[in-house]
Amino acid sequence: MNVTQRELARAAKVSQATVARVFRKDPGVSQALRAKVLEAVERCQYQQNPLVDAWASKFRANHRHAGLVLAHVSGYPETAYSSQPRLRRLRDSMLTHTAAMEIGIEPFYCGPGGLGPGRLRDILLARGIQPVLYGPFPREAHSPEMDWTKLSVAAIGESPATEALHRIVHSRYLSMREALLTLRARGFQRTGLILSGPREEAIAERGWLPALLRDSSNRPARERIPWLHLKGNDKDAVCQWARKYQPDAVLSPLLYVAPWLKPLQPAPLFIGLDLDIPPNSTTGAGIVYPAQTIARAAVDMLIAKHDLHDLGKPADGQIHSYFAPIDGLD
Amino acid sequence: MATGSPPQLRAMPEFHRHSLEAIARALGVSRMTVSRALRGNTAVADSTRKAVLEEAKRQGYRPNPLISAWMIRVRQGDQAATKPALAYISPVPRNGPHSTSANSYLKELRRGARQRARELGFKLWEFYGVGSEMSWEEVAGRMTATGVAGMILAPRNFLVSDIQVELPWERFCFVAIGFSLSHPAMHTINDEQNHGTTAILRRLQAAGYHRIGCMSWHHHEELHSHGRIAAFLAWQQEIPAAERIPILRVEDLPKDTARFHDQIRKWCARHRPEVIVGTPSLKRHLHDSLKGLRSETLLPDYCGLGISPQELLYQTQYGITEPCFQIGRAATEMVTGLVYRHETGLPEHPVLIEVPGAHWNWKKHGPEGARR
Repeated sequence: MNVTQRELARAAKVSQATVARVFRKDPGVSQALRAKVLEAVERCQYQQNPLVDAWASKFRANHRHAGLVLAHVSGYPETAYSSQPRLRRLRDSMLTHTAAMEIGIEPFYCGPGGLGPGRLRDILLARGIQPVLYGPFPREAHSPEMDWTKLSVAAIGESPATEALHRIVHSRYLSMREALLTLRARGFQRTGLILSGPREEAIAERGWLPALLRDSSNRPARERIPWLHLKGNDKDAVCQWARKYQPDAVLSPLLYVAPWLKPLQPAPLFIGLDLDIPPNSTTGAGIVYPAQTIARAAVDMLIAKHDLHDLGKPADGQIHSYFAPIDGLD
Repeated sequence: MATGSPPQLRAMPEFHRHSLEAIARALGVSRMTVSRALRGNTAVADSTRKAVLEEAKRQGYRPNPLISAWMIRVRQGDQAATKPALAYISPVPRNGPHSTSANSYLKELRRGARQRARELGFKLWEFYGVGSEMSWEEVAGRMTATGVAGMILAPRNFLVSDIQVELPWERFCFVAIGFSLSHPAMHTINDEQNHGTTAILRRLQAAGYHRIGCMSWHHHEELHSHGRIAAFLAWQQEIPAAERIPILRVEDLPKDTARFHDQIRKWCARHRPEVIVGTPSLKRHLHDSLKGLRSETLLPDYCGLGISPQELLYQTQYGITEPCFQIGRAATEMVTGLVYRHETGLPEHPVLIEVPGAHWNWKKHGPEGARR
């Protein structure tokens, strides 16, 4: 026999509204009251029915989250969001996605000279803003410990600041894997990779290099091309490397390398990595940071958490990895 | 937001109360026919069903699985029969020697999935031996009849690559656990491999190991551990080339065990690893291979990557655990999210959810314990 919520409320000697608030994990319900209701749930073997929720939300339709405000906390100042194409695409996609649900977004800057974690938390609690989109942060950002109790959080991007949170990331590893498969399917056999910066950093650009190394470790030695670690604007090094190993496709985040490769005979196909904006016919092919996918996924995750009253830091820091295909390939 | 184009408001697919009717009107058939065709009822002629599906696709009509489930309940007037449900679909039989109940990894996944379903108020139907004892069509039929909204595709405990499954995908929400179902591309939950492996390697280095080797089952690699192998190879770029030990990839335990052991012995003798990271199940084979050797000093330490619950109980391994229980929970959570958001069908942007494992037994059996 199914127990109704009304019967449950009677058994717990509380109002039906209180029962509903307990199920919503409303932080305003005292521990004692919650325990009382949960004890009654056990006793009556009450089971929640999410269908009822869905049915009700059908009537509430798109207005289900109307008026909700999300905080967008990041390590980049607002000026960066208007001047850097990648951040702008990210923010625009967030706004588009939330606007359709009548949800608002409030930006907060937590980088150098911005809000500290304590101050930020005070403001959010005072303003009654519970859901937080956290990130992106610059990789080198100093990461203050944030107290997430009473807040729900979905993080964007990999950085020390977002570690241990559920985070939505563009996986360079998966994108590279996919790109290598795509290239192979199109008949490219010898793919090379050019990276720059300090050696640890080039390797620590976790993704491109691991994917390439793992791919080539399964291939005959004559098809393996050692990756080029470029120091400075060394055109000669690039040309020498290309002549020596004869790659038929070169992948690199260093777009200035492309013109150096063009005069070579035969010229390898250049594929830009981690592009900020989709490539056009002159820039050639590339993998574009999937800003829209990331923004939508982060907002969806945050709203799901908000709906379930899933507050605080998660027990396991899941990484939600998305990949992007090669854009502009013929 | 001062510069740049203003965000374009994307036309949201509106919830049409009458879109079933719109499809019916466009084709000149009854609403009931449309409803039957969408549910895959065989009482509708194949040609009609095809036409309805095409028209539905054209109009962008997607039945909301939760509402469908609710309607079944309303029609039947039966309260208990149609609790909203998810399906847990396993290609592995329920019982027997190679079954779900005999495999701690699969059992823990299922326990996690069940627990989270209970917390979220969903019933979890379980189907076993799908693809062998039971056909996919049969499962799809049962799911439609019982109003199942979402499904979790559990992995297999043995490896078959490229399983192609034909299902009426557009009717359900689904996620897969692991990579054993490689086609079509869908949302997948797996263990985190890249950061976890790198952290382990650094920890071993810090404990004083110089020569670190890596072993893997060749057949399992693409499906189970490509991320770990990739992380190992990238980590090797940080150490001098002379210290880099090539990965030992062993074939699935062959009939010719002598050759198998020989391969391991030769590799150890040649590269003299002080510690080996790799698939936990290879530890035993490594020990078997090196058993008869003169010097015990040759026997390297073994650090397991992805230790299953079974191995946690019976073996003195250290390393990183396979977070099966959390993966099961994450799978249910993901699929309920899809159900609530009404995201049926194959995803345009599939996500890989990576759940980190935990460091295990380092103090007791590992290099940081009293033994060393």
